[in-house]
Amino acid sequence: MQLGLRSPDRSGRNARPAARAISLRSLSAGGLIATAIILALSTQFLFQVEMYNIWPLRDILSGWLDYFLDLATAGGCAFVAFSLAALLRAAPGMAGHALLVASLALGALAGEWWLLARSPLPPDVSTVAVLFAKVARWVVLGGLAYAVYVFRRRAAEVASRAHESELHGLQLERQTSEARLQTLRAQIEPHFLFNSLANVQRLYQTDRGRGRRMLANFVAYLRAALPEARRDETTLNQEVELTRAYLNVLQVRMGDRLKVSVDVPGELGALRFPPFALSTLAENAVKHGLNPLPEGGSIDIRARVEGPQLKVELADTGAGLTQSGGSGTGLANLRARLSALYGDAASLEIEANTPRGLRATIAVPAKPGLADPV
Amino acid sequence: MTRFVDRASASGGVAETATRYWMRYAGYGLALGAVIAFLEFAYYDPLIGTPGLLGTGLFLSLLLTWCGEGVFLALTVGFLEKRAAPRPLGAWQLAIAVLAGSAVGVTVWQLFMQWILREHVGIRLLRDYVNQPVEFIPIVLYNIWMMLFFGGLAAAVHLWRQRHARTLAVLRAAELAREASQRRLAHEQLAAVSASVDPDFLFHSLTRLEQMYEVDPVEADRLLRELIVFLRAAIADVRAASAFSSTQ
Repeated sequence: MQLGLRSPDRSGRNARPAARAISLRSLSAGGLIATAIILALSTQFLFQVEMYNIWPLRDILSGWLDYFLDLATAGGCAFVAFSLAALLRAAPGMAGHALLVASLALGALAGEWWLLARSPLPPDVSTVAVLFAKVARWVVLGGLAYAVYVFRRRAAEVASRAHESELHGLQLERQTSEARLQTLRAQIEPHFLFNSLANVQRLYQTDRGRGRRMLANFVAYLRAALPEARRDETTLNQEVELTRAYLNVLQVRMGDRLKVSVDVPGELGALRFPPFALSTLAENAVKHGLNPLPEGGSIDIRARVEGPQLKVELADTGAGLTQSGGSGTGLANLRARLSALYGDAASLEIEANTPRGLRATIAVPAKPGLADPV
Repeated sequence: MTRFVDRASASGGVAETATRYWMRYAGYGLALGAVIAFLEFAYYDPLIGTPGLLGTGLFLSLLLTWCGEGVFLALTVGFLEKRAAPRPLGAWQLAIAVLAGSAVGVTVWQLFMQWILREHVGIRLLRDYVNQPVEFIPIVLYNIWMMLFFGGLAAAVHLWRQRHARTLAVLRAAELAREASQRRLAHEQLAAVSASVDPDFLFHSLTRLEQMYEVDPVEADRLLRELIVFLRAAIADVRAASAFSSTQ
């Protein structure tokens, strides 16, 4: 029941180590994409359709190659400058984006400058204006490509956080149903305590000897029961002890109306068994089977191993299924706990006992128990 | 991915009216057109070397050309996205939308620009400024290339922006569900804690009770009555807690 599960906020964007703005892997993929963009951009040359009437195809193709090389030079400079900035530590938020785009612009400026130095413009054309136009184009292209990258990365991050959050939600749901189970279990306990103590009180006033015996039995039951409630598995021996103590308490209350016999072979005592499984059956048998009958009846507990399974059976000679009122919830809870602990490997079967009453059988995998904690 | 998308659209925020939707996409087109017009102007203006009014005319002419074509492209994408809703367009569908929007948009807008605005209103086009013949096919081809290139990049940004928004919606839904579970768990744990009776307390009381019945039965009886009152309260607590959790 620990509340302090890993909070998904901690693994979110805030917790990312302040490392490179973009990883090396992403950058190498980005290099390929930049090449593709430059190649696509160079086809602009081929779309000036009038030149097909003037120039031979060979010249057009070599002109295209020149244009591509120019673009690759300037674009390559822009990409290298961008990458160098990206390999530094990432600045947070918009400042980081602006820094990367600014370095891209600087790289493009250097590349275009070098190209203009190699083949100067006509004297009447302003170099600054041409440089500005070319750098602006690189900034728009690079900025758009970078925006795609940023949104993609964020989408992936958000998707993984959503996945984590859903997972955490499922864990919480599981814990919730566990807690609900515990509440249901605890719901029975105070009820039983309350009834038993009321009985002790009444007995002390009428029959002190029986009252004292009941109190002693009751303390023995609690000694066995309370540590059990905090564990998932116990041994058959411990569970039988618990059930016997529980029935002893009730015997004081019911007197001759409740007869109990237990037949559990000693070698089975150390096998694993879910806590409160047998005592739930006993409680159920007394509450709905024997209590309604004025003459009471008997409860027989037997255990045996059949193949891979340990089968523990509790038979009563009570009112049986037909007259039992709300026996459903206790058994339904037990079923839910068995399937939570063992899945399909465990079962709870209820059938009619002859000549009357019910026979409930719990089957769980026969496995040696843990070392006795006491 | 499909599961995410369905849930995202189911929990999507405030509904957008049809008018606002088309205005938004027209806005995208205008922005795209303005960026292209700016790049073209920056490129051609120094080559013409005509300062002043002439430059302003060139810029307005470029703005008219590219914004018109950009709006056509964006509205085509918006139309196809609305048709595909609530599912988003895939990357290939978006590519086809950009191709169709560019080709149709540029053709229609150039027909309008060249036959109506230029012939009848007297607006000059880029080629009038750079002293080249205004021919329909070369201009349309060149403009389609520009729209495909810049429009394609912008569409890629648009695609991933939308995906990001969708995953964010999924994340919000998941976090809300998680918070609800957290609350339920807290209530359930509270119920479990208040339901269980502290075993040490109980042992202590009962052993004392055993001793006291030997010494002072009247006092023991009083203690036992108090214990019973306490347990009755505990039962009421458990009932209330489980009633609460079952209504959740």
